[in-house]
Amino acid sequence: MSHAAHIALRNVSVEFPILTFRDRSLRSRFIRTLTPRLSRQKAGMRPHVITALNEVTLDIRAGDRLGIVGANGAGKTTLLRVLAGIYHPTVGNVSVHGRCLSLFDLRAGFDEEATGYENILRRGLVIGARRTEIDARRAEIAEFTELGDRLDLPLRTYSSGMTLRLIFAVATAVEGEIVLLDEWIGAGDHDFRRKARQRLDRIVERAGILVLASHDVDLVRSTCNRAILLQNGRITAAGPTEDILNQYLGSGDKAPSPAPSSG
Amino acid sequence: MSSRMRGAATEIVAQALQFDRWGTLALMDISLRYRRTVIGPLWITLTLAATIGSVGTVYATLFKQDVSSFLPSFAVGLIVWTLIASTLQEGSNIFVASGHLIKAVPAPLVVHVLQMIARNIIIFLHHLLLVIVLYVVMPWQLHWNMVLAIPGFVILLTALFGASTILGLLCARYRDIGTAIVSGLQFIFFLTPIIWNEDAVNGTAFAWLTKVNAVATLLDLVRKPLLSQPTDPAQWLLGSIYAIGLAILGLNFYARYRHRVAYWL
Repeated sequence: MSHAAHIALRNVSVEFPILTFRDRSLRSRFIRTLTPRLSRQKAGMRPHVITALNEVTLDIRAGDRLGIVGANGAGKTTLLRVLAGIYHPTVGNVSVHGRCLSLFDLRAGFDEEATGYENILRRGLVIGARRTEIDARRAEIAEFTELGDRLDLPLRTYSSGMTLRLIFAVATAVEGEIVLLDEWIGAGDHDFRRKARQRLDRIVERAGILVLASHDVDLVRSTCNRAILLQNGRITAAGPTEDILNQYLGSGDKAPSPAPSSG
Repeated sequence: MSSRMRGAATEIVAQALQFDRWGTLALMDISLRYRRTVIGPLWITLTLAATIGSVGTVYATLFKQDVSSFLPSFAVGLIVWTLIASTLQEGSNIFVASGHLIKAVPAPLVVHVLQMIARNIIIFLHHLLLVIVLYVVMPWQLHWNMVLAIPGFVILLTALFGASTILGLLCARYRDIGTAIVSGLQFIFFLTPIIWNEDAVNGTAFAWLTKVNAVATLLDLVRKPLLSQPTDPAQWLLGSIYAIGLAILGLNFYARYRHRVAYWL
C-alpha cells in the first residue's frame, strides 16, 4: 500500500497577514477608506505580511524518512501544516498521494467534561474517521491506555500522565501511508514510554513516508535518511542526513529569526 | 459555475452527507450540556416559557388582544426566532471558536457549520415541547397544512446555513462584526412581528416593514403552518428566493475564502 505514497511541492509559498487588533476591525477599515489622506500618511499600518514559506520545491517518495531541521520560526511547523492540508499555500502547487496521519496538536478535539470513551469517539470523528471504524478500534485503544474503568470517568479527573496516555493511544490508533511528526511524541511513565515508543516505531516503519521536524539532532540522525535545512522559510540545503545536520550545527544560526510560529 | 465553486459545492455536499460525523458530534455537545446541569438545554426552554408566559399575557392585555389567540402566535414566533438568532450569533463566531481545531486537524470548514446548525436544531426540538404544552392548554384547530411547516423549516435552514457561513467567514477576518450582529439582531427582533401582530401595522406607514423584512418572511413559513394559519404563495416564493440567494452567496464566500481562514485565526 505504501508504494503509492508521494508528495510533490512546486514553488510553494505561504504568506501570512499578521493581523493586529486594528486590522481585525471592520470599523477602522471603513474609516481608513473614508479618509484617504490619513490612510496615506499611515501607510505603515497595513497588515504586515510575513512569508513563512518561500518557493519551496520538494519531492518526497515512498521509502523516504525526511528530517526537517532549522531554527525556531524557520517554517518547520508551517511546512508540516501545508503537507497535512491545514494550510493551503498562497502560491504554488501541492500534491499529496496517500493517507496522511498528522501527529501534532493531538489534544485538539478532546473535551474535559466527556469521558475517556466519549473522547475516543469525539477525536475520531473530528479527524474524519467513520463511526464504525472508531467503534471497531475502541477496545484496542482502551486496552493500550491501560486505564481500565477510568475511561468511564470525565477527562478532567485524569492526571496529566493519564490524559497523555489516552491522547497518544487515540492518535496512534490509525495508520497512515504518510506520517507527519512535529517532534517525536511520547507519553507517560517509564513502562508506558517504552510501549509508546514501540508503537510509534511500528507506525513509522509501516509508513511509506515519514516527515519529522525536530530540534533533536540525534533523533533525526537515527530516524531519517534524508534531511532539509529550513532558514527563513527557504530550503537552504537538502541531501543526506549527515551532511545537512553538519551544516545545521555548523551554521550557528540558532538565533530566532523574525518569522513567527513554528516550534 | 467555475471550477472553484464546483469544488466548494462538492465539498459541502460530501460533508453534509456525512451525518454520522457532525450529527454525532452535535448530539455529544448536547449530552454534555445535560451532564453539566440535570435538565441541560431545557433550562433555555424554561427561560423561554417564562418569557412567553409573562410577556405574552402583558402584551396581549396592552394590545387588547385575546390571550388564547395571541399567546400561541407569540410563543411559536419566539421559539422560531430563538433558533434564527442563536444560529446567526453562533454562526458568526463559528470559525473563531473552532480556531484551535481548524489549525490542528485538516477538515473541511463546513463541518463546523453543520455541527452548529444540528446542535441548534436539537435545542429547537426541546423548545417545541412548549408548543405541545400550549396546544394542550389552549388548543387551536388542526389543519392538514400544518405539514407545510416542514418545507418551511427546510427553507429557513437553507437560509440560515448560507447566512451563518457568510457571517462566520466575515467575522474570522473582521472581529468587530460579531458585536454588531448581537445589537443588529435585537433591532431586527423589534422590526419582526413577534411581540406584535401583523394586523397592528396594516394600513399604517410601517406596513412595508413586514413585507421587506426577510426574517419575518422566513419565520412565517414555519410559524403560520404550525398554527394552522393559511400561508401566502407570495411568501413561499419570496422565502425561497431569500434562501437560494443566501445559499449561492454563501457558496461564493466559501469557495473564495475557505482556504484563507486558517491564516486569519
